Parts: sequence; C-alpha cells; structure tokens
Amino acid sequence: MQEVSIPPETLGEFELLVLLAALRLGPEEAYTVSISDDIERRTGRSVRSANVYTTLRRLSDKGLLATALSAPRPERGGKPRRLVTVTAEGLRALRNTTEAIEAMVGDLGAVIRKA
Amino acid sequence: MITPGWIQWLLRRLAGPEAAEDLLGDVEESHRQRLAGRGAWLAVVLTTIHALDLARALVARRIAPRGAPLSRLDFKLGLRMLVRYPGLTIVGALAMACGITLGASTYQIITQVVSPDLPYSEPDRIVGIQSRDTRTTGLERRLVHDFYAWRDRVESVDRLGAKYSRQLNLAVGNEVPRPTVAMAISSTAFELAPVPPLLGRPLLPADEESTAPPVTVLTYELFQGRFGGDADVLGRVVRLGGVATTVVGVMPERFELPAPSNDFIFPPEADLWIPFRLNPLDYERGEGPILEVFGELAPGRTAEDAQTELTAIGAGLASEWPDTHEFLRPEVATFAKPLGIRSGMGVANVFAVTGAFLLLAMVTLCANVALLLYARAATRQDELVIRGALGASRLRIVGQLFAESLALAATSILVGLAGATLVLRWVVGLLQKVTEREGVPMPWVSDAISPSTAVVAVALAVVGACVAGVLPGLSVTRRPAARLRGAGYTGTGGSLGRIWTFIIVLQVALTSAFVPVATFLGVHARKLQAMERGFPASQYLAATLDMDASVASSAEPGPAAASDAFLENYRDLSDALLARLSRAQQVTGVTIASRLPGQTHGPRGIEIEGADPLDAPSGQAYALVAEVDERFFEIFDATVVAGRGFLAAEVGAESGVVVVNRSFAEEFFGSEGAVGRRIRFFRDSGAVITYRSPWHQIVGVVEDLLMTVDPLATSRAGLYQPLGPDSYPIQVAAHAPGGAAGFDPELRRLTREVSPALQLHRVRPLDEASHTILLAFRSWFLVLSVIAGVAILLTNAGIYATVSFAVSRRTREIGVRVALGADRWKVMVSVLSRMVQLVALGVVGGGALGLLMAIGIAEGRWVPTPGSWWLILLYVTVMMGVCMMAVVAPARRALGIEPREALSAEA
Repeated sequence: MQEVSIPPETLGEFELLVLLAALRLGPEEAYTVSISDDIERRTGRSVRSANVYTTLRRLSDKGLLATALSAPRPERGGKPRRLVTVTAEGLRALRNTTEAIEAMVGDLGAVIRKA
Repeated sequence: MITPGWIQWLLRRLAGPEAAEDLLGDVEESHRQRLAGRGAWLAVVLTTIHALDLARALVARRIAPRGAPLSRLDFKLGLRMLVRYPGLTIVGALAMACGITLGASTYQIITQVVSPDLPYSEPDRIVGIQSRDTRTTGLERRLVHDFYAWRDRVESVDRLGAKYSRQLNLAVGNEVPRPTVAMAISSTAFELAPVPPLLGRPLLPADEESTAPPVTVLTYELFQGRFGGDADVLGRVVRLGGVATTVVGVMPERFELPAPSNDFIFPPEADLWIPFRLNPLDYERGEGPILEVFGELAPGRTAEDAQTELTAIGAGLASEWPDTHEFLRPEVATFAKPLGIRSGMGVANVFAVTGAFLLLAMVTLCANVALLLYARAATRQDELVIRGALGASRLRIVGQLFAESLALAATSILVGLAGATLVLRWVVGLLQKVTEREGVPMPWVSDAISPSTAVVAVALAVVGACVAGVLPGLSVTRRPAARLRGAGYTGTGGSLGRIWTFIIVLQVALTSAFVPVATFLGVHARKLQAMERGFPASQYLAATLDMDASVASSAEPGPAAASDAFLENYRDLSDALLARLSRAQQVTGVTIASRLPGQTHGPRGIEIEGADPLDAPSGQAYALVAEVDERFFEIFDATVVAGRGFLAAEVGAESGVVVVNRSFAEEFFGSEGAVGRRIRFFRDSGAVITYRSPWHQIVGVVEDLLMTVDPLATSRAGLYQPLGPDSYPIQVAAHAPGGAAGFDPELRRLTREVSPALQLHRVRPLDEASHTILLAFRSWFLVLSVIAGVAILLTNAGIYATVSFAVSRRTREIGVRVALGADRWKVMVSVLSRMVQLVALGVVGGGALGLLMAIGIAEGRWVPTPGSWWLILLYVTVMMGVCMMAVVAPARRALGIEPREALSAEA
C-alpha cells in the first residue's frame, strides 16, 4: 500500500512571530504580555494583545504550544501567569516554516536588504 | 485588582472561568505598566481599548466555530424552498407585496401631501405670528397695525414679513382679462426660501416703496399657462387689476413660500407675487385685509424666547390701544408644519385614521405570512431539532429561516413597488381632481416613486422578513431538548402555542371586520348618489360671484375688499348680471344665495323663544343656515307648506324674518306649527355665550332642500334668512332646463359683458356639488373592498396551511385511532375542532364588532335592534362558511388516511 505523506505543518505569519517570541523568551517568561512586548520591540509594529491571545489559543489547540500556570504574581492582582512552552510539534512547525522561507529567499537576501 | 470593575465584569461574562482569570491577569499587568509609564487618564483609555479588543475577540471566537448566522448557502437554500413550495411562495409573496404596496404608497402620500419638503434650510426656525382673541379663542386676522408694531419692536424674530391674497384680473397682451390670485408678500419671504428664480429676480425691499414702479414675479405654472413659457417674459408689461405692472421674475416649478395658516382649509395657491405695500394709515385698527405674518427666529433665539418677547409686546399694545387690543395676545406658531396639521379640515385626522387603518391591514398581512412560514417551519421541526443536536446554534437555524423569508421578501419588493406606483397614480389623480374642483390645486404632488419611498419599501421587506422568518424560527427552536425527546413521534398534536393562536384569531378578526366597513361605505356611497334633492340638479348651473378687489369707488383709496364702496359696487354689478341672466334664452330663472342646495351649509347656534333651557351649553341647538333672495324657493321648486316665503322688500335689509325647512319645524315644534314662533342666533366660546342676535320671526316653512350632503347627518334642520346687504361673495344659480353644462359659456360671456371686474369661480352644475364627498366614499369603498378580498384570500391560505400542518402532524394518531375502530368523522372533528374554535372566535369577535360599528355609525345608535342582531348572525354565519372553505381539503385528507399507510409511513 502506498504511504500517504501528511504535509508538514506550516505557520501563518503572525503565528510564526508568536512562536519565535515564545521560543526566545523561554518557558519561564513567555506569556501573552511579554510575547506582545517582544514582537513590538523587535519588529517595530503595533501588536494587539487580543491577537496574541487568540493566536496562543489556536497554537495550543493545534498542539504546538503547551501551557502552565506560574505562581500568583502581585503585579497581576495576585493572578498567575499562563506560561507557554513550544512543544516538539511546534519546533517542527517552526523548522518547516523557516526552511520554506529560507528556501524561497535563497540568494535574494542582498536584493531584499537593499530595498 | 485596580482594573476598572466593568472590565472585570465584561471579561468574566464573555470568557470561560479559566480564560477569564488569564485575561484579567494580563489586563491588570498591562494596566499597571501603563499607569507607571503614561499617567492615569491615558492608562484608563488604553486599558479600555485593550479590554474592548479582547471582548471583540471573545465574541468572534464564540461565533466562529458555529459559523456566521447567514451565508450565501442559506439564501440558495431559501430560493430552493420557494420553488419547492410554490403555493406558499405565491401566497406569501402576494401578502408581502400587498404590505409593501400599502406601506410605500402611504409613506409617499403622507410625505407629499401632509408633510411636503419645504425649500427652507432650517424649517424649524421659521415661525408665524398670529393674534388670538382671548374672549372667543379665535384668531384676529386683520393685522395691519399689529404687523407694523411687531416689526418695529420684536428682536427675537428676524425678516418679519406679511402676506395677503387678492383676486385681481390679469390681462396679458390683447387677451381677455382673467382672474388670478395675486399674493402681496414681503420680500423677506424670498430670503427665507432662498431658491434662485428660474428667470429674473425675486421681489426686493425696494419694490415695497410706495413710489416704486409696480412689479410682479410669476409662478412657474402661470408662466407656462398664460405666457407660453416665453423666455422673453422679463420686462413685459401686463395689466394687473387695471394697473400696468412689469414682470421681473419667474420662480421654478412647484416653488412654495411660507404658508402658516392654521385655520384655513388649504393655503390659497398664488398665481403670482406682488410687493407688500399696505399703509397702516389707510386703515383703522382691526380693519384691512386678512394678513399672515411670518419670520425667522434670530440666531440663538428659540420659539419660547420669541413668545416671551411677543407676550410683553402684546401687553404693551393692549395698554396703548385698549379699545381694540385689550383681549388680543400675540402667539408664535412654528411655521413649517405639515399641511395636514395646518388644515382646518382636520386633514391630519383623516390621514391619522387612514394610517391607523392601513397599519391594521399590514398587521394582518404580516401575521398571515408569519403563520404560513411558521406552519412550514413546523413541518420541518424534526430536521431543525436534529440539526441543533448536531451542533448548529439556534442563531444559525433562525438565520437560515430568516434567509428564506428574506428571499421571499426580495421577490415581493418589485411587485410591491409596481403596486405602489398604480396606487399612487390613482390616489394622486383623485387628489388633484378633488383639490382642483375645490379651487386649491396641489401641483407638487407626484405619482412617481421617490428614492426615499423605494428605501422605505426595502425596509418594509426586511422588517416583514424579520417578522415572518425570525418569529417562526424562534418558536420552532424553543426548548430543543424537549423537542428532541419528542422528535419522531407525532403525539405533539401539532399544537400552536399562545402566540400563534393569538395571531390566527387576530388575523381572522381583522379580516372579518374589513368587510362590514367596506359594505357600509359602499351602501352610503349609493345613498349619497341617490339622495333626493327635490329638484333636477343637473339643470342648475352654479357659480361663486366675486369681484376684482382693486375695483372700488374712485373716492376711496386703498384695496380694502370689504369697504362700503366695494360692496356697493359689487351689489350694482351683481344686480346687472342677474338682470342679464334673467333675460337669457336658455334660462327660466336666476337666484342668488350665500349657499345653494347640495353645498355645505354651516351650522349656527339657535335659541327658540319659550323653549328651555337653551342657554346652557348642553341644551344648545344648531341649525344649518343659508341667506337667500326672494326667488330662491320658487326657482328650486321648494313648496312652501306653511306661511310664506320672503318678500322682495325683505331682501337686502335687516328684516328680522326667517323661513325654516320642514325638518326644522318637525324637530323643534312637532305638531304645534312653526309659523309665528321666534328664534335668535348665538355664538359661544366654550361654556360662555358671547353674542345673541335680536329675535327673528318664522314666517314660513318650506320643504327640505338638501342643506347637507352628509348621509350620516343626524339632523337636517335648516333655516333661511333674507340675503343681507353685505353678503359677499354670493352664489348664483341659473335654471337652464336644456342642461346646465351647456349654459356655462353663455354665463361667462354675459359676466364679461357686464364688467371685466366680475369674476366667476367654481362654475359647475349643481349635481356636482356633492361629488367630492361621493368620490371620497366610493374611493374608500374600493380600497377597503380590495383589502377585504385580499385579506380573505390570505386568511384562508393561512387557515389551510395551519390545518394541513395539524393533520400531517397527527397522521399517525389518526391512523391508530381509526385502526382501533374510531369513527373517521369523529376523529376528523377532534383534529379540526381547535381550528374551528379559533376561527369562530375571530369571526364573532372581529366580524360582529365591525358590523356593530358600521351600524352604529350609520344609524347613530350603539344598541343594536333585533333586526341588527339577525344581520350580525347572518354575517357571522356567512364568514364562518367562507373561512371554513379552507378546511375542506385538509379535512378530506384526514378522512382519507388509511391506518396501515399511516403506521408504516412513520415506521
């Protein structure tokens, strides 16, 4: 019987940014507010936390992120942070997406940077 | 937490408990950061935006998994359902189209007739000023002195102006002079309605100077009619009222200037405008022409401010002129009122009643469509319940049903608009016929569908779709769990629920009520047509005789239409005309009067000597009154049944005699006889008698001569006085046995020969006097008949659909009962009895009530006689039969159900 290959998961643009931010911040610091700040700081674009929240939920539903609650924090009115960790699936999706982008960019990097 | 409480509440409401804690923590942390970095106010604003954004995302997330409530597929399915159920589609589309026709045409008529677009940028700031007599509560209209006093003193009203109308003969070139309505008006009126003239210029303040040359501005209609639309009209000199006048401008088509009249029937339609040049020195206070005063509220001032100021000015005038102004109070009237509210005829009431009636008709139509769609939705109940169980939200299911009804409504819009066009053509044609006959044309009324009417039609279709689609949808998706447990069994009985039961009964009741009202109008239209006048009305040519107001004795300056010289001249010319008419070959007799038979006679309060108590408000009597000459009764062949008619010496003098009609004599004197008794007239203001005339002696009794054309009038008591010396204007009636219409040209020719100053208005045979009312009755009869017919058709369709639904839902039950040995007829009766009860309730309630009202209005009493009860019983029986016709087919289906098929079909 012929094997059917399941196409690898690829990420949307904003999903990619959120996952990269979550990966960089790490499991102790990655949550909605810090991810929003990180994306804003690095990309210079305004990010709505509602979009980050929705994306985190979606990625979690897809199994690309795992969540855990931190200890209660006084700056959150005593509420814990919901910290996110990139799962193995999430890493695979990141790799697939970045490899696809790199493949497409290829030797156009210099041209793109000049624009 | 320092996050505002409402944000906490909102997020907890929209998110699940776990998600709410996460979100609130994020919002709290962000809010603290903003407070530290941006300050309190900005932090609150940004946090609010943050929270609302989260709320939006939460709501979208709720809807997203179940899909949007409406999609293209829903509309596609909706159209498919329309094709699958052609009967329902046709009936439902017809009902919606009727509703759209009714609603759209009513909207356009009301906006064009009752509330036309006025050419003012801020119509609410245009006001009228009138003077009210506190003794009589009526208006004092001779305001020459008041106008100039107000203009000098008032500050809260700018551009104060006035106008009055005059009948002047207009001679263009070598044409025969023809009467026109000239409106003398202040130039400020053209500033209030800044519409550029079609040609030339409007009136200017300089034109109002007494030394300025006479000028005029034409209406578009006169420009086209008398000047042939000649673009070289500017600068032409015409003779207006005998004065050489230069045409300086032409206004655009359908242009209208302020018309604040509260008590005139309709504002007189001007043919042209001339400068306002009244000199108060020419008149005593309280004399002069009837003026209408208007202006615009000054910037920053309200109507209340203007009223306060004018009240103070009025108090000042009262102390300066106590003999004339002690009881006069200036009033500010908001000006740009709908025509109907300005009307003294109560046109607004007519339209209000019409609108209420049409609303009832639309309720019936909407109820019918809702019922049809509910019946159809109910037959799909199992499908809808299962869809809900599989995950479709209630919103989604209702959305689909709404899409189906929207598809139905979309097919009805074009038909509805076409129907509205036809209705408008008919109504506008009728309206123009009536208003032209009454001498007050309304050229601005159009039968073309306006853009706003089209928008209203679309809105009605959407509303109809909401009512007809959403209500049934909400009903069939209620309590899905209970329905799921009951799905697959037909033991539900097809019961309707309270709302739908009410809708069925309401629909049947309204339908049953329309028929008696339509019948009543039809019967009375026929009665009016057949009303016995007592003389061959088609042989009498009637006209209102007027005179150019500029024609007065050369010794008297000024245009005062009611001056002694004017009246003397008018009497002389009238006598000359009557003499010429009497000698005309086609005429066997001529008479003059204030009102002629078949015309509306105004009632006056009367007291009868020796009768008591008639000076109390509840005991006052009223009689129809007309002033006539000595030939009147003879010309109209009215037999004097007692006493005598008037003598020639009594006409034109204060004679103190009256002649009463037979109805008056019977009503007030019975068998005693009226001749020799005395009566007097009175005027009252509420409970206070403000005037009593001297006693008048009854010298004769004549047969009734149609002093009222209202077949519903409860009293026809009337009396006649000799024509007074100051009667103006008078009605002329010439008896031409060869036919009144044929004498018309001769009458006009003779009038011109006597004097070009004489003017004839409303020349028509006397049998046309009651045409307006007859036209109204006939038109209403036609409208109601059509509505009643459509309502019966739709109601029966609704009953058929509902009964079919009940039979189909109880097919298994019927099959089981018949299989167990029950009599088929008894089973059918038990299935249909509920519907029969509802129909009976509607017919008895609505039909009986409608019939009682019709009888009550017609006969003036509200307690039915035995004969009326029989009529009600007959009507109810007939209407039950008509409605039960819709039950026949489903009943036959119920009778034909075979138990084996019924049971196996369910299995």
